[in-house]
Amino acid sequence: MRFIQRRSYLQDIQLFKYRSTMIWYMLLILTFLIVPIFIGVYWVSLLCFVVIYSIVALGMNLLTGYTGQVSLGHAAFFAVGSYTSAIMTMSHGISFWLALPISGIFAAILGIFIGLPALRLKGLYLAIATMGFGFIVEEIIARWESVTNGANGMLVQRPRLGPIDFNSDLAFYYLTFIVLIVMIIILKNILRTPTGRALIAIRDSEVAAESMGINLAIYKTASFAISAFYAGIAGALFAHFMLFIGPENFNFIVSINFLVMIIIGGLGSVHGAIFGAIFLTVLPELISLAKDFLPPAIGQQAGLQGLIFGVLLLLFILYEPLGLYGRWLKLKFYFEYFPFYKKDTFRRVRKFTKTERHQ
Amino acid sequence: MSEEKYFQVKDLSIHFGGVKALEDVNLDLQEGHTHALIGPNGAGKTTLLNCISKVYDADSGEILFKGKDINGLKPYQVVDVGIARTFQNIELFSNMTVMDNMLLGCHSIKKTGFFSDFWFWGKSRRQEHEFRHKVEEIIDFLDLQAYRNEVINNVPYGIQKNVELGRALVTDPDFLLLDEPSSGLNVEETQDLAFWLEDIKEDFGITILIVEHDMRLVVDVCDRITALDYGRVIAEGTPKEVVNHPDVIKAYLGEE
Repeated sequence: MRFIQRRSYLQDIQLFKYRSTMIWYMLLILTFLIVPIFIGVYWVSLLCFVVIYSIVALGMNLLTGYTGQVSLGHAAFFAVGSYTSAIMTMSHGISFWLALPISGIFAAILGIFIGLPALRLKGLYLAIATMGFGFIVEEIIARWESVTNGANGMLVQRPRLGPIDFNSDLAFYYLTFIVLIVMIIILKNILRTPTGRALIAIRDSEVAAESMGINLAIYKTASFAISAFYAGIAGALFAHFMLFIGPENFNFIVSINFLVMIIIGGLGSVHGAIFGAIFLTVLPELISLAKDFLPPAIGQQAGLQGLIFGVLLLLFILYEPLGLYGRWLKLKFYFEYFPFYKKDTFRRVRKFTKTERHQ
Repeated sequence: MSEEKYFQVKDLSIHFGGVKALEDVNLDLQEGHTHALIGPNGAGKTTLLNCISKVYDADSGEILFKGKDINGLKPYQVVDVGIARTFQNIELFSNMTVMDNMLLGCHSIKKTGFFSDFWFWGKSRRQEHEFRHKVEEIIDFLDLQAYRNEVINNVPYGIQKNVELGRALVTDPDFLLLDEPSSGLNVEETQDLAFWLEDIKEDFGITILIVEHDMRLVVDVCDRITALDYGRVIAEGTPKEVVNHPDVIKAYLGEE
């Protein structure tokens, strides 16, 4: 337990509550800056995927975890970001540094258009509507050959900034990492200002939110737009990292993966988004590594990965609705209050989350 | 118009399917008064409140606030003209802390847009400070200090009611609609509530329209009472007049 004397109201909404937390996070960032130098190309490229998916998961968590709007079409925003950046840089020769924010903005504009019908839909119906939108975008990309080169896909190049060349995976990793940090700070800022509070209010009680003067239409649309902006930025980075994009990079499974990410990672938390992205990127690799050690009857079975994903998702929803982040909080609690943690410490929380789900 | 009334409901009607929930209801409030709405269950008290705060759209009739028709407003615009409300079955944001719930009350007076919130510089930062100050004043007023950082789910029912009242007060209202603020409270909490209602009226100068079943509380704090039954006004006047009105006794106790 730590107590600090507060001298200003703003102290309560600092990004870091204690100085020691700030130091820990600085160390964490430093680790992520230094370690990649030594771990080889394969793991660096995995880290790149983690960072890119983290950005999508952050936006997704704002929409689903904080505002309570389900989306099964986020691959579409991701795709729009990718293709906008690819087309702008490759077909029109516009600088990547201009194309990156524009991809985000373009996805956000699309997000506004999707947000508008979403005002009338809730829950499952919204999920189906966004899913339909995902299919439409995928199909448009595959058919609009004059612009997107159809199923043949597009070649993309890594960006340059003056003398710095981002051709190596390591250099590109640093670029994505900086973007991720900026995106986290923006999200944290949204969450501690009236905008973020309004979004959470919409999730908890729409009637009360309206009676507090929150215009549901504007805030729900804004939530879609911000979330799409995150996906768009991530998409642009993805395109330039992959060097080649085609419609199959953005199919329905990708949308599902984004949703699984935030559910396993933890709905409604920034940490959760990142945990989820790490988990979903690293797990397939671990599974393929484990394949060599398993008896061939199991290891060589097709669909092993899908099975493990499905079982894990079920287990998380049943036993840990707060996801990996919930686990993390409990672990922290265990050490902070060392001898006092009991099995029932979180019983009330667990009971509550369970009843919530059955409503 | 000869004289501008503070708040007026004129011939308000609304029906749900075949049920006429409100029929030609008239209501007249004076500035600075505490006005109670009473009536048996299903009389239309909450419906009337919902019509005023635009949760429901009335079929016909007028709602005038300071001489302006507010019937055309959207639900989220009502708070901007200075009308705040609480709900019968608590409608708090149950996964947020007491503090965050009350900070949401400041939403209607926020001056920053999305983009300045993204960066949280100058204006946004100052505004957060200002909001917090405002909320602290109300927390002080309602004795909520101990619960400031508790999540609503972990807070007792009586406190939740107070938080809801506090959230309405943070919006700087001119006119407060309270829907059964004492339901579920124990005797002591109800007495506290009575004091607060007096203070809200006297110190903050807020006009209150209160739906309430606890007759002792109503008689204690209210200046005037309107009694409803089956969507119609059956009596209106000072507490004494209404409590002894034969129609009111009939509505509550039946005929002899």
